[in-house]
Amino acid sequence: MKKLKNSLKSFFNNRVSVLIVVMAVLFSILVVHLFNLQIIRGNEYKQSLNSSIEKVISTPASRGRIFDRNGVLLAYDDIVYAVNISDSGSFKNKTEKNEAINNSIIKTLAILSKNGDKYTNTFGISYENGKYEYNVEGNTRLGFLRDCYGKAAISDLTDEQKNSSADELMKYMITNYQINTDKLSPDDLLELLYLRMNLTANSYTRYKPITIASEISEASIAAISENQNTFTGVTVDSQYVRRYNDSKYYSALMGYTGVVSTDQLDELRKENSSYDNTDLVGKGGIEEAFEMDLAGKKGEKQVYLDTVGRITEVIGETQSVAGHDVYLTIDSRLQKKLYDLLEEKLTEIVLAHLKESGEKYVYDSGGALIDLYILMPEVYFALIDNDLVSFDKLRNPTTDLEKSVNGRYEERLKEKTDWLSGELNGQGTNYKDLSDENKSYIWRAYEILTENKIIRTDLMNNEDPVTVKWNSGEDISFKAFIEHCITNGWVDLSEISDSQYTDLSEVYSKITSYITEKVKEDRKFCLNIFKYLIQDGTVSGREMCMLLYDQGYLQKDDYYNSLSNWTLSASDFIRTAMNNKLLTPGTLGIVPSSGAAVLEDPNNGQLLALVSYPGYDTNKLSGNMDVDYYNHISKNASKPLLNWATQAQTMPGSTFKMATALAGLNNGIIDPYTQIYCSGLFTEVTPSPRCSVYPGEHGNETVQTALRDSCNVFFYSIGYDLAKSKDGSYDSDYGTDILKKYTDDLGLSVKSGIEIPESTPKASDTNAIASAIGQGTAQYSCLNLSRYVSTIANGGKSYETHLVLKVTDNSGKTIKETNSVLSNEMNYISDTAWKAVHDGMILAVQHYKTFSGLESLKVAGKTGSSQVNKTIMDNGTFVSYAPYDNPEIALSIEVPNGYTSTYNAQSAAAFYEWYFKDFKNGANN
Amino acid sequence: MFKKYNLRSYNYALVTLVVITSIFGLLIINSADSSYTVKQAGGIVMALLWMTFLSFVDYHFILKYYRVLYILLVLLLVGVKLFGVSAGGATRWLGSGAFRIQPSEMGKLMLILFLAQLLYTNKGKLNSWKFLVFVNAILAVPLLLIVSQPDLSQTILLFLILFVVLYTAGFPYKKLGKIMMVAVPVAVGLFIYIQNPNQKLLKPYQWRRVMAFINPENYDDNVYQQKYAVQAIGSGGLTGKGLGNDDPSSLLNSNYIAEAHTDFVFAALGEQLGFIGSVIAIGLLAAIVFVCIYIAIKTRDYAGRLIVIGIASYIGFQTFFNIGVVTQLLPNTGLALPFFSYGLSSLITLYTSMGIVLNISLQNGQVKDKDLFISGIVDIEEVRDDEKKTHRLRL
Repeated sequence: MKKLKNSLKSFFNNRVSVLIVVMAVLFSILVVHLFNLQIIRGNEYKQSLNSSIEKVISTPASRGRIFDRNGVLLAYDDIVYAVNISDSGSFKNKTEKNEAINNSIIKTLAILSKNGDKYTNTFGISYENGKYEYNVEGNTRLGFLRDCYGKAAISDLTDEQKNSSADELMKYMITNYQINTDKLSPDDLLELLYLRMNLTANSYTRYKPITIASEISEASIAAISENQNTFTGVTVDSQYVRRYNDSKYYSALMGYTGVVSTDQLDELRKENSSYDNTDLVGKGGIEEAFEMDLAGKKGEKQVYLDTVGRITEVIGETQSVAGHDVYLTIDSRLQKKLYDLLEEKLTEIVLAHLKESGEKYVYDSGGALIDLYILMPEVYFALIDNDLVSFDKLRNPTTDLEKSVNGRYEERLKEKTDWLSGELNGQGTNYKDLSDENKSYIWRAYEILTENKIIRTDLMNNEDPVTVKWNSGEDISFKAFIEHCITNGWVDLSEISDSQYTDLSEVYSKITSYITEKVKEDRKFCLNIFKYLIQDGTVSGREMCMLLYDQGYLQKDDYYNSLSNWTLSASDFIRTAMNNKLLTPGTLGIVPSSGAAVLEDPNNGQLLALVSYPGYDTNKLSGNMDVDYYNHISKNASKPLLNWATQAQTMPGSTFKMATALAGLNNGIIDPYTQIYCSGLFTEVTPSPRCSVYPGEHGNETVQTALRDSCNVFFYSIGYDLAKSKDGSYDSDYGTDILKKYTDDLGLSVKSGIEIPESTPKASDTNAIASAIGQGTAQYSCLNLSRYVSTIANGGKSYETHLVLKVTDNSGKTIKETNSVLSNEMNYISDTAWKAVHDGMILAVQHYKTFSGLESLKVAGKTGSSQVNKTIMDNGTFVSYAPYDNPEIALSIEVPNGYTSTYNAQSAAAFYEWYFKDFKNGANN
Repeated sequence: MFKKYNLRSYNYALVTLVVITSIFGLLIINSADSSYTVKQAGGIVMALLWMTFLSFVDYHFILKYYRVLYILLVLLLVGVKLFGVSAGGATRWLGSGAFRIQPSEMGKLMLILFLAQLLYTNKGKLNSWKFLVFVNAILAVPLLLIVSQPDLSQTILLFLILFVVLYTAGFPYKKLGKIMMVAVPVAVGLFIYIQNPNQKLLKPYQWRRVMAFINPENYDDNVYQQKYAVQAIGSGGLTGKGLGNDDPSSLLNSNYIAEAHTDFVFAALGEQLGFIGSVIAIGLLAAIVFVCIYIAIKTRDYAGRLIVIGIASYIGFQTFFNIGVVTQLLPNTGLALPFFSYGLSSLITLYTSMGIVLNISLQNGQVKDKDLFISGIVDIEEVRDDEKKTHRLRL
């Protein structure tokens, strides 16, 4: 023990030996630690290393094609070339890097603009009227600033950065990226900044290229490929672009493709986890409904990446697999024919009702609207209202015509805002004493206050006598009403001011200064100014028509010359342009401007045509959406983005009468020989509803003649009797329930089963009498009517409606096939009942003048119209099938506010004639 | 300043070790980033010439100016404070471009020389509190200047080197024990205190590095450098991926290793040459350290021995710190690997040190300090306790 103590003592006394031991221990620790890392855990590190620098990059698959039933190509993926840039080089220092990248971008842009290729990126700053301005606001602006200043979060921005002007930001970026701006155009500079900013944002995922321009020309491809070595990071890569043939005919049923939305992504990932947030997926129509079939399987590229995401080596690659092809039940020839017929008919209706000036409405002695004229000033205004003449361009005028028109507009705007300010600050005129024009400004000003929640309609008491007076436009001034709102505490200034006001006059002056500023920026208010400029002739129709050419909506032609040398009047120009399809009802947006037609094979529920008018160019919405075009069509009153065939709903009107007839016949209310006397009025109830023939009368009608004459009294009577059939007393619900059973079985009031979105139909549930003639609360789409008339045509077999025939793989092998599904068969209806209804429809068609001479086509059908209100025309519907002894097609047409269903019958007649005389013969040859 | 030397006692073994280690290091730098190869090779050649020249300069001649060295260092460090160049949140350099120097790097050698001579001229005073306080105070000035740059790792390294020099010179155990009784509780207290996020002692970046070491998951940004380095070294296995390989799965080739030519050069070495290469490198450095210690043992001169001990611990500790950091044994600090890392300040300091060591070795046997055993190296209290034992402790 003592020995040990002594040796320890001597060890510590020899201080150098302590150091030797310490050093030996330290070096040993290192060796042992390295042995552990490299020998014991070496393999583990090797594996984890591979997984941490390995990355799988997916390559897009070619999306499946879409064909019509005969194999006509409707949608496909085209290969185009895009020029991309990625930050893949390594540089000695920042200056060298900036120089190389700036140069290759600038040279690439020069090649692109020389060959007329457009780069489509949008930077948060634009160059307008000689200066740089932000084109984004609020949080979008902050997000943009964050990216420009290279911060991870908005909160990392300093206040100075947050408030920097467009010029300051540009200056910062130009310095930061060492850009020589001498020879750069503003557009090129903005594009350069856009690309540099995104390259920086991508600095840890550099394998992702940034697109400079897609769909570039052959000349650009050649020029850039030649200079590949000198253009650092610039590559020309192929990419898929979705194309649609004759897109306007199919737009509503086809849909388009676009970058997946967050909600959509969640849904799609449930079915297929390979979706990511930059994928292009189907949006609407078949493209969305058959996404899983069309999408195909992405390819994969396994690569090693370095720390900044540059690819160092490709380890493996699997090719993508193209998506499946979808064949529609649609016959493209029939689809196009119906679309064109519908467009021609709408043109005809509009042209027939154009009137230079004068009275717009024509009422009969009973006060019912019987005709409605379209006054030329409305047409001229529609040009600007529907963005054919761009209001934005007009207000930033460049041409002489634009400047001249804008000058008058500005003058009127000033006059009217001054007037409004005078009205608010002076005595105030009673609303009812104002001119129509001034009423429109006052009312819009009021709407601005309520839309911006300055006047809180939710706090308002609608039974308050002053409010009632205001809402009905009586003798109260705007000024008085605002003051009334202030005293009642319905005013909320928190949106426009931080201070608290208690004094009425203070609050009032705050509101008036707000409103007089706000109206100047309000599109609706400003368009209203324009409306009256056109109406009172300050801006002429001729000028409006010439603006179409001036702004480039139409290409200059002979009509333009005639307009400019006064040999063609504006109204004649409109007529000629419509006849020549330079302007269509769908683009002009003058009611009637929309419609639907559905052609179905009644023997299996396959849709041969599903037309929604107007269509639009899905090519422009697909992929990188053309936002200007999207805004243009979404502004149009004709609502091209709505599927008028499956989603627009109207009351069925008299086309419903077959359902009532079947219910009456099958419930023993009538038999095929029962006669009901029509005196023009249905006198069982008061007020007595009228027949269409009133003040005349139909006299005795059987079910067949009643369908022929569309006698309301006959069917009122059935509806009335059905409602009484339980216990002899009138029970409307009982009646509508019976009717609903029949419409359900006929496939009218149930969903059709179509593959794309459709509105849920609604059977009428009030007033059994009105419901019996297709009024009441019923809401059906043209597609519902099609299924309904198909079921009637084949004697009670209701098939699910289908738009897709089959899905095949690339080699054409069928993967899925749609079989006809008989969802319901109405065996309980006797043959005599069917015959009575069929005969009625045959008689009806024979009765329509438009079908005279076409008896050999054996068309059965029924028109219908449903009233909307007293200021617009009725909706027109027509349902039909042919040939009636062996139905092979059923056609339904619906035109909202289409004046009279006779027009639909005319379209149908034209179609049947073409179908049986030309199409069928052509097809047989 | 020159003496007549017997060239047979020139320490060729140390020269050979230094040359081999430097060439080995150059190969690694070349594979990590070949753009530094020429510069570093030129630096090594120049430094070898400098070392050879210095090995013939009598170190006593240098030691004569020990006060000048001290004042020069303090002036340089104050210069850094006033006119220094900043990088990465710290101000450690003077001048710019190729003429950028890091005084704290040179400072290690300067302070070793200063302390050695100071202790030599004050032989026997180590047992007095007064002298101890004086020594500590005078050393604290440059140390505080370096820690405030901030450069905590250089400070800790310097502290350890100077402590070893003092210890070897015969710092009394009893006084050491008393100091420890105060210092240990304070250190533990400080360690607990700095873990508090609101602590005032460490700069935020230092705090994050320490915390990243204690708690890697929470401070991932600061530890990724070490994470990749460990992954690289681990994946090197027994034999490595080969020097200058083009394996795409190499972290070095994929630029994952930051500072692969300077502080993290050992990661490049470990990945490319595996365990065998790593052990050879550590072996070479250990050999240099032990040859130095051997020279110290052989040295009869009091100051010369303390200098060599100081230089041996400088190379030994810095090696341990650097490799410890690269292999995630220690928190991330910025210390170069002696003879391997690229960097002129470090190169010059190392070769100057080696030149002095070589001269000391060369003068072995020529210098005899008769007071060697009585004065400082041996604890005076111990001598009183056990006279006979003390004599056995002769070196």
